Amino acid sequence: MLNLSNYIVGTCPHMCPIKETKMRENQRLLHIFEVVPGTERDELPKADLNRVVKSFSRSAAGKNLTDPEILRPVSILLETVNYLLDDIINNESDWLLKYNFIMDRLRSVRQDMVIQNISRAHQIVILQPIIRFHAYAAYRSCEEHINEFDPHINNIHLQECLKRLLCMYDYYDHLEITTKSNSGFSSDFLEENRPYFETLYLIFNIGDVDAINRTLSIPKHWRTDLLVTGLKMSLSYVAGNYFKVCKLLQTMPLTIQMIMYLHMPKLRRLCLKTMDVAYNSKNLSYPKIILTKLLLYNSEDELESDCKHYGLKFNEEGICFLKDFQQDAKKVKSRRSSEIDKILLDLDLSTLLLFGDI
Amino acid sequence: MAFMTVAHYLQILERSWKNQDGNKTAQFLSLRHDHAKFPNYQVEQAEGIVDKFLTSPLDELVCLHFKCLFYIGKQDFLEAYQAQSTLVQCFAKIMQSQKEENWSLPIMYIIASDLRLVAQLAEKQRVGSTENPGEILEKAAECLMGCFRVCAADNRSADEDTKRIGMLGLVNQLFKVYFRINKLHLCKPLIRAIESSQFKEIFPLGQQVTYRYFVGRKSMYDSNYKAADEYLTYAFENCHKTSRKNKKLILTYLVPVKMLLGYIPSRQVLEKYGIVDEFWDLVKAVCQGNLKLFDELMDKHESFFITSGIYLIIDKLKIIAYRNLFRKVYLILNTHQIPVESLQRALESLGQDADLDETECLVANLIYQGKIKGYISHQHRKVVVSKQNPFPPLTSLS
Repeated sequence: MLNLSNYIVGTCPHMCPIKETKMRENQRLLHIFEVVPGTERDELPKADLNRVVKSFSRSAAGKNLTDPEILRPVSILLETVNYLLDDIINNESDWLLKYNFIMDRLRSVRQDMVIQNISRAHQIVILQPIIRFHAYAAYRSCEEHINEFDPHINNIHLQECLKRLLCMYDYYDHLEITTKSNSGFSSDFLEENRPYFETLYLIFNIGDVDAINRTLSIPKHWRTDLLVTGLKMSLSYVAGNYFKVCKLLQTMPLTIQMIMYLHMPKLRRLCLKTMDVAYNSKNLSYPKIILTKLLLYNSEDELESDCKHYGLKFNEEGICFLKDFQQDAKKVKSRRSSEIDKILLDLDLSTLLLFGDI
Repeated sequence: MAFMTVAHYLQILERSWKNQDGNKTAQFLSLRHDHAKFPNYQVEQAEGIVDKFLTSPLDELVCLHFKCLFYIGKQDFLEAYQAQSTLVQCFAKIMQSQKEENWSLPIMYIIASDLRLVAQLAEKQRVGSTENPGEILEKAAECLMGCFRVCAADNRSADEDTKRIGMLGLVNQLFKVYFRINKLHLCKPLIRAIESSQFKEIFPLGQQVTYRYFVGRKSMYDSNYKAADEYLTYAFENCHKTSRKNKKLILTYLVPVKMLLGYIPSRQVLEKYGIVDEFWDLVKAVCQGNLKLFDELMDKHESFFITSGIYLIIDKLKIIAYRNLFRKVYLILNTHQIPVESLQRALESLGQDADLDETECLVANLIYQGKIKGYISHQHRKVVVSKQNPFPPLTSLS
């Protein structure tokens, strides 16, 4: 059951196996990014051998996914990830078109990786950019209509990749214990990003008991300032200290801020609900400008729109909390932050995804 | 146990099986029984000798038992696990064919807990597999579910012969697995099965204590503290007084749950069960609202809190410490309009990093939870508390 020699080693020398290229060409299943430019409108668009990428395909009865010829070895997998997150992502096309293409092709990279059970070091190297991609996509697309972008599915992929990465890290801890040495046996470069990804996992699952417990139980030397701040954020979130969460968030690396923005509707809802009881008074109001700042809204208009949504009243001076918070009102959709968007404008996306933001 | 020949052992087994002596048979099939450590029982292929003394279906069980012992002797726990797992599956089939009788339940209890223990060893030994920590334990749980289904489906037998009475013992084993691999959500259907069982009140007391202990911990985990209090209190009060270790364990969870509900444990109880170091200062810190001491204790006992799985609930006690601190400020200032600044200064003096807005946020939570009666005026930066009973006793809150 644990025999390593049972695993197949792929031999496919291209990003896409020849068989699949042919098949998809014949059945006109090539993506626009995969055809020879100029032949898009032909009856049978031609496959551009340098640009076709193996697509994800579910395991199903009668399908052999373990043929070495259709599995890509590590070097090709790395090349594929780089191609997708460097070439494709910088393409001029529409973001969602790119997103759907990249997501599917990265999924197939992960599938090849799992089937071959490639070395942990390589899995770490492959997973890190994929995680950054899904984190970025979650933020970038959070205002899209559900028909265009399904945040749930993206989140599932993100969670899966994160958990897998954390398993790899755990293995290195295990090695360190069993070999009783921490003399750089686990190559440092593989683990240098670990506190960062641990924090990303923690914040992606903010307030979650399991995530907090995991952070608490990993070896203490991983508890860097970054991870400690992440822990404080998650614990403050549980304790209802929402202003503190927002304050700490501003000290976080960009990608982690982006991930936290997905939770902001939930956080703001809880905060307004609490304030509705605690600031309940007929004669008083809470200044909008201050709450806008504390809860990291882009503008007072956004705050007003949320208040309306939850049934809260406000006037020129501020919000009047009168215990009329609508308990059944669903949380609002996520919004992007204009601050973050401004930073993103000046940032090279491929660098962010491939090399991270620390 | 003195040394015993395999032949003698097999004869005893044969007799106890025929006499339907579940307890005795169980002992002799246990990996933890004295016979297990003698090498003459550690046989990979025991069919030769076993078949001379035993007939079907017992022979198969014993062969698998010897095989499991053989691999344990070789320290190969993965193979030992496989053998034990086959044994349990095999037993489930035998049990299913035993209509209208339940004398063999003690055997099931023993082999089930053995399976779990071997699975734990195998899990520890398993090095190098890339993923799915807990995979073996999860498989063990599936195997136990096989027995559970046989028991649960036995609804034709009379009440005194029903195997359904065996459900709780298995559920407890499954709980132990699920808690270990952190899959608490899998407990839910089991709890439902037990709660709706007609035997709910007549399961053996020992099993009920274990069951309540785990359900109490699960409720605590789900932040359902009232229920956690009920279950854990039952477990604590009914746990046999000589099982001090278990009582201590129950108390580890019951104390923070009770504190969160506003009850303060007595020093004597903590002393009696040897958890005074971990908890007494904490009790003091919470009661006095001494957040500085609280933080120090969190630091000091961190690993104990983490390994016991109570770190989060202890962290939640902090809000009670805030309440007690704010109450002190209120009493000192002797006013119904407490300046937020005074509260913030109190926090600051105890090493808490909180600005005015964060202080208001803490008060807001206390008001929301009913722990303070009153409201906040942001414009005046004042907390206006009720003239009557502004800090109601925590035990009066539901």
